[in-house]
Amino acid sequence: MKRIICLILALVLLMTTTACSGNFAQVNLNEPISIPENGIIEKSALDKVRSENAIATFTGSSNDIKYEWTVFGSDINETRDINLEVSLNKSEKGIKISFSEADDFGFPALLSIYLNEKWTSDSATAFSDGEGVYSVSVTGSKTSILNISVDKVVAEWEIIPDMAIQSENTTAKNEQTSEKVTVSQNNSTEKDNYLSGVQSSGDRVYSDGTATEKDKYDTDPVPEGKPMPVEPENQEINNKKKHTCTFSIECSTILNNLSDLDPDKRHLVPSDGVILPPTKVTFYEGESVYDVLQRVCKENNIHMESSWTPVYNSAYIEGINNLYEFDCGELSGWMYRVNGWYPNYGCSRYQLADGEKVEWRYTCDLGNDVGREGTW
Amino acid sequence: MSKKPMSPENKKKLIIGTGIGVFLLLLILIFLFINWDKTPFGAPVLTIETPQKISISEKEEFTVDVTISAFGDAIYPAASMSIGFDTSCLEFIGIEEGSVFIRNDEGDVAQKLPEWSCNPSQCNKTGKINIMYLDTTGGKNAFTKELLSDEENVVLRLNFRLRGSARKDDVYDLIFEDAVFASSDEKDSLAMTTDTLKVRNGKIVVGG
Repeated sequence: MKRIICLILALVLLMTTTACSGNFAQVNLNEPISIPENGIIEKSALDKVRSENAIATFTGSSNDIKYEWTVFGSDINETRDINLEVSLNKSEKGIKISFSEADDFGFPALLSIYLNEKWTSDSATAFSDGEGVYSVSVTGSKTSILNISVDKVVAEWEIIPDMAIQSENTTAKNEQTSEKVTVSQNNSTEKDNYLSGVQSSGDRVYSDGTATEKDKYDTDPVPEGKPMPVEPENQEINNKKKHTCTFSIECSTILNNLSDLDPDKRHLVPSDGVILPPTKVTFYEGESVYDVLQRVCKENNIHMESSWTPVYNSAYIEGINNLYEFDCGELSGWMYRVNGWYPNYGCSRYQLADGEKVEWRYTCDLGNDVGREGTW
Repeated sequence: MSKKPMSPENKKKLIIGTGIGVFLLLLILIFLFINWDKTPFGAPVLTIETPQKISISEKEEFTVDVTISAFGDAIYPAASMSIGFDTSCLEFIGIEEGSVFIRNDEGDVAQKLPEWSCNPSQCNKTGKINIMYLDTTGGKNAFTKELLSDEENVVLRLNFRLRGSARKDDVYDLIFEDAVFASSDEKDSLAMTTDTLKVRNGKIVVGG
């Protein structure tokens, strides 16, 4: 009888060991691994990820917000027990993250936060003590996913969408001065039909999305929440007020369509397609994207040619770096994007705000190959 | 005739036996609970496998696997999936065969790969990779669980190339917007919308 009991107990012990140690000692790296209640991922699990050069995902949730760590075995140099638990709390401006781990992991890990809502901004910044520490990519179609490559752990961050930062800057700017460039007032005195659907925020006028008609310069209604165009003749530049924005120029789409490129122009295309990498530039309050493009090209010795198009009340960019429209097919040319949005009006009519990100991109397919949505 | 009372020794054995039995049952339940997601009882999972980091200098195409963990008991003569991606930094090149076979034209369990259809140029315009498989033989060329292997089951492979606008440390999510393995009887179909098919999205991470 005693032998039978001993045998059963041994069997029980074996099953218990298998069941409880299964999470890590025999961790299946092909499956997502749930972060345990204490948040600790054991050294043995990370050793396995490293030795197998695997990609492991560790999942958890906090306040109904799911998060996931992606760890690449190739990134791990040293291992130890690490705590991957994070606490997520919605804040007024974005989302607050508190880390349970006090020290750096010793390797970069990708943190993805699956929000239950959609952020309109396609980028965000992680702040610690008011200082931006990481840039955060925002993806997802129905709800947003925030991705941050973390190599240094800070006790607490707040992630704020970049568009919220810009609107905050605009509001702050508005509070600081009373001598504003009152574009909104100018517009309200000579209101067009299409301007019936606008909202004013600071010195900028945003569309509320209700307009249905084109304006007198053949511009379709501006999407809700996007800045309304400012006519160059109403532009008031304040040389005493300086701001900064990020400017870049690239033509990487040509690399995917080299067969369509005029052979004489091949040498003009940089190997990575980048003509001007993202560069912080200073501009004066009231300047347009076109004003800044002119200056940036001059300062960086980059060729640029434009022509004035009265029908659109804007300059039209014909060529940059000697790469002109139609040089790479019938549908090719230059487009500009501000904070991830392709404005549906000319660059002379886009009045820049502090902190905006301007990208000039060469398209070979009427914008479809550079992420432009919708119609002209 | 009165029943003979159980001896104290037998009583003790019965109690110990019952106790061990209950204990064992509990342990089995705990074992199943802990390993629930590894057992075949849950819904099948369609996964976009995150590949190793893609080097920023990599101009060649790279592959992302889409795998399935299991099928139900039914046969699935049609399948489709829609995957969202960032067209501004990724160029979708097309699809390649995976390792999940279908039955052959005679309906036997034999090795034949399904012919998925997809229009890459349209996908690059819309930012959605729409892929479809349709068995036009009345179920002979259908997906079934008998044809899955014990190893990783790759339904198909997605080919991409980084665009020049991609930057180091960028992360591009590949997100299932819809996925279905359709059976002739709708109640047996595996669909993301009805939660009979779970999905796991993947990521493309750009390294140095």
